[in-house]
Formats: sequence, structure tokens, C-alpha cells
Amino acid sequence: MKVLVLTKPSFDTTLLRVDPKRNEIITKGVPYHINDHDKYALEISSLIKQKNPNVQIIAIGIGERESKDSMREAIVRGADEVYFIEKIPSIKYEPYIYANILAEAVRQLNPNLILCGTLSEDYISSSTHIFLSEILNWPIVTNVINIVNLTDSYIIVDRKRENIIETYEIKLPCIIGVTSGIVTLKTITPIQIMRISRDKVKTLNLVNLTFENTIEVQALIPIQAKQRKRVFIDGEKNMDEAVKTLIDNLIKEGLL
Amino acid sequence: MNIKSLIISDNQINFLKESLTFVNKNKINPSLLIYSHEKEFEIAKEYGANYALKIEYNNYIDKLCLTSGIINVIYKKYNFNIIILPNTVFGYEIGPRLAMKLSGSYISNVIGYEVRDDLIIFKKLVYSGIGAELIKPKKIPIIITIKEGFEEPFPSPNPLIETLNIEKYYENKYSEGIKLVKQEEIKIVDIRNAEKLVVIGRGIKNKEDIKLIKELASLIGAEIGGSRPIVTDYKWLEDYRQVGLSGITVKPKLYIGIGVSGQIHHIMGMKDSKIIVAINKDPNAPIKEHSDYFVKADLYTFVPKLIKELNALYKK
Repeated sequence: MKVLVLTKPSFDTTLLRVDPKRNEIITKGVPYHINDHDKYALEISSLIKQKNPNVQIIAIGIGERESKDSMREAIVRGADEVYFIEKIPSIKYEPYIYANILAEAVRQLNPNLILCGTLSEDYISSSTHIFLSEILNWPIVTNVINIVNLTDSYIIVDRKRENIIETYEIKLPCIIGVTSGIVTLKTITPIQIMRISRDKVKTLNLVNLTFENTIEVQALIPIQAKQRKRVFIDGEKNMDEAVKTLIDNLIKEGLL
Repeated sequence: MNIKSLIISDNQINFLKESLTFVNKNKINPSLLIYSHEKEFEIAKEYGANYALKIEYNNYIDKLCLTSGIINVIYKKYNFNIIILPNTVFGYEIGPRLAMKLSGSYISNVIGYEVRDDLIIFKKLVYSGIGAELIKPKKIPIIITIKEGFEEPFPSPNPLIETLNIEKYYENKYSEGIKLVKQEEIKIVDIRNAEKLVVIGRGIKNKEDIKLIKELASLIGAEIGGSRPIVTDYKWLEDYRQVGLSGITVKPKLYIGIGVSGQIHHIMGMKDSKIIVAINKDPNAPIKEHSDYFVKADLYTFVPKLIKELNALYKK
């Protein structure tokens, strides 16, 4: 059984900063990694493999040329094969376009099951997998918190939506979007990733794919943080005084 | 009948107020609301929806098939310019499907907009919330999911709201291959409406130490929340207590972050709190920039003293 894991290379968004003088987001030099939410999909597929040894895990990602090496993390997290599709710089990749390219890859790789995270941390989108299900005409269940059972013909999952837990049986092939927290992620060091040979990430060439954008991005702007009082209370210098200062201020604010 | 905007509320009251304010303010009306709960209908009257269509369903898949089926039919009749959805699982799941079906533009996580030369440019959250893209849709209908805070709600009563009756149409493809085996309602605490919130982060060393924080929270009448590592990695708190981009967005009157470093994912979920207090021994923690009061201290020394002083204060 082939399990395809959608593994998006993304900027490590925790390292993005704003240049206050130019009022610009600094992306230059920010390292790529695998989208945090997709790491959970990789690791749950690895757990599935432990129970079903006939499972083959294939990770696939679309990204800028510089992000290709970051896909090696997928091997460390349990993928047997990793494919990378290089972005064409002149194209604006919106979720609808990602999904169309992935659909073409799915036709080539022919998986039985697609797993992915439910959110991309860079684009903050939860839509590529939904577009993909629509294009492939495959059933999809998102926000999955537990995989109960997987057979050759169906998968049973628990999904949480606000205060409701639903259990679904879904016919294969299908798409499953998992939540962060479905497993506890392994701690992985940069050295473990660097030890994986670059050749392990294969380039998948999809030719003659053209898609029309449905949106036009006019600008990328930083979001201004709300101005705060920024009162610094040094509790290490005088703890009792610090406690008193905080309480006094909260009383003045009408909060105690 | 000329309907320009369609709003699907998914029982999200603030969303409903904001989306109706937006369509009325920008004259993208008449508007049609698809709803299921009476409370939504009351808000629709207060905030000026022109038409309302009630749908009833048995379960989530049923709702997806029914909403999609009905929109297919009514879009052909009314040709809306815009369909507005909330940032909920339902909004995220139906939005792209409608965009494909109706050959429209889809933009998720919209936090605001600008009007330029009669065109609406949408502001979409990107990069974990550090930035936004300004997006011009190229196709009609425009389908957007909006994040709370998108628009300042402003009532515009319309007691003459007209109720539409439309035959049930199901888009059965969304139930093909999917069988609902069981459904269970669970008890959760909705911390979105908490006036005070004490949030714990990775500075807490052991699960047992949470009782110290609970004592503080109980003393000041606050709910407990957690950052992503506490909830998803350590599983020390229930998932409905996770504050941040992949959890929930809160805006209490008082937010106290204890041992919370303040990664951008977390800040996105609490930055609109009225007063932010951070207790952290690292003076370079990112949360400092977003705090009204930053206490540089070891939480294991500071919090017990704070509890003692608060107890003394409340006994007076």
C-alpha cells in the first residue's frame, strides 16, 4: 500500500523578522524546513507502517530550489521515498495551483492514501488538500485526531470538530488531514537531517502544466503589532517589590 | 431579485455581525444568509441581512452536501459576487469546493480589506501572522473565509428580512465513500469568552506544576490556557485550551503568560488581549515586545509569592 504524505517545504516562520526601517518582512537567509503541521502526517504514517509492514511511505513537496534539501527531514521522520517538485519562479503558487500540480503527481505515483497536516504555516491555508480532493474526486476527512484502523479497502478515523468527535469509515483511495498533536513528534537534530544524502530527495518533473491564477497578490506587508505599555518589572532584583508592583498596576487597570 | 452576497454563518455570531457589517458598508447587498439556528436569524435582522434561508441537517456530511447542493442551485439564479464564510472547519472545507464548482477565487484567513477605485483588495494573513498579502481576486464569485476582527460590527436593523424557501438539493458526491460510524458530543470549556486568562508555556517543567498555576487562576477568576507545546506535544492540557494560530484566538481583558516565550504562532492567538502580562526569566523572550507588563523572574519563585500576596489582598 502506498501512502503519499504532502510535505510542504516552508520558511521557518518563527525566524522571520520585520525590517522596521523599510517596513518589510525579511525572508532572505531564513532557513526552510518542513511545514510544522505536515510533520505530524509523516510521523503518523510511520506509525501506520509499524503496524502494516507492506506500507510504503512517499513524501512529496513543492518548493523553491533552495528548499529541496529541507525535504531530507521527511526521511528522518519515516518516509521511504521523497519527491520534490521545483517551483517555477514566474508563477504565483496559490493553493488551487499547488493542488493541480499535486493531482498530476498523484496520477503518476498512484497512492492508495494521502495524508497531510491541516494547515500550512507560511500561507496559513487549509485548502490545498480540499482542492486536491475536488480535482481527484476522492473523499476527504480533515481534522483527524486518531487513526483507528487501516485496511486495503478502507480507513477508520476519529475527527474532532469543536465539541463533537465523529468516527468515519472512508473508502480508499482518500485524503486524510491530521491535526497537530495526533502523535508526539520525535526530536530531530539538524545533524540527523544533514546525514541524509541529498540524492535521497528525487526531483519529479511534471511537464506542460499550465494553470490560470484566480488571485493576484499585489503586495506583502508586515502586520503592525499593537502598541503596548512595555513596563519592565525586574523580579530578580527584588522579588517582593516586583510582586507588589504588578499587583498595584493590575489594581489600577481595574483587573483585580 | 438581485442578490449580491451570500453569507453562511455556521453558528458563529461574531462572524455574522462582522460579515453583515462588511456587505452593508460596502454596498455588496442585497445579502442572503444561510443559517440553522434561530439566534443567527435574530442577529441577521439586527445587522441588516435582506434574505434568509434556513437549512436543517442530521450530521456534518449531510450539512456539507445540503449547503453545497443548495448553493449550486441558487448561484445559477442569483449570481452572487461574493460568498463569505467563517474560519471554521466547515468554512475551510466548503470554501475551496465552491471555488472549484463556481470557477471563483478563493481567499482564506482574510483579516481586513481596502477599497481602491471601487475594487476590494483583501488582506490575507500569511507567514504565521507576521504579515499579510494584499490580494485582488481575479474571478467572480469571490469566496472568502474571514478571521474574527475583520470588520468592526455595526448594527443596521432590517426587520423586513425576507425568508426564502427552497427545495432541498444534495450534492451527494461529498457523502460518497464516507460513512459516519458514530458521533459523540464532548464537554469543552470555551476559553474564547474568558475575561481573564492565565496561559502556560514551556517554562513549566512538569505537569504536576500546573496545579500552582491553577491556584493562581482560580484566585483571580481566570481560565487556563496553554501554548502549542503544552497542548500538542506534552498533552498536559486539553486541546480546546490551546491559544495560537493552530488553536484558538482569545482577547481577554487580562492575559497572563507564564513561561510563555511568545513565538509568532502564539502571539497571533492573543495579541488583541486588553492587558498582557508576561512572567518569564528570559528578558529576551519575544513575548516581551507584546507585553504591557513584563516580569523578569523565575516563575517557580514569583508565582507562589504572587499567590500569597493576592490571598492577603483578598482577605482584607
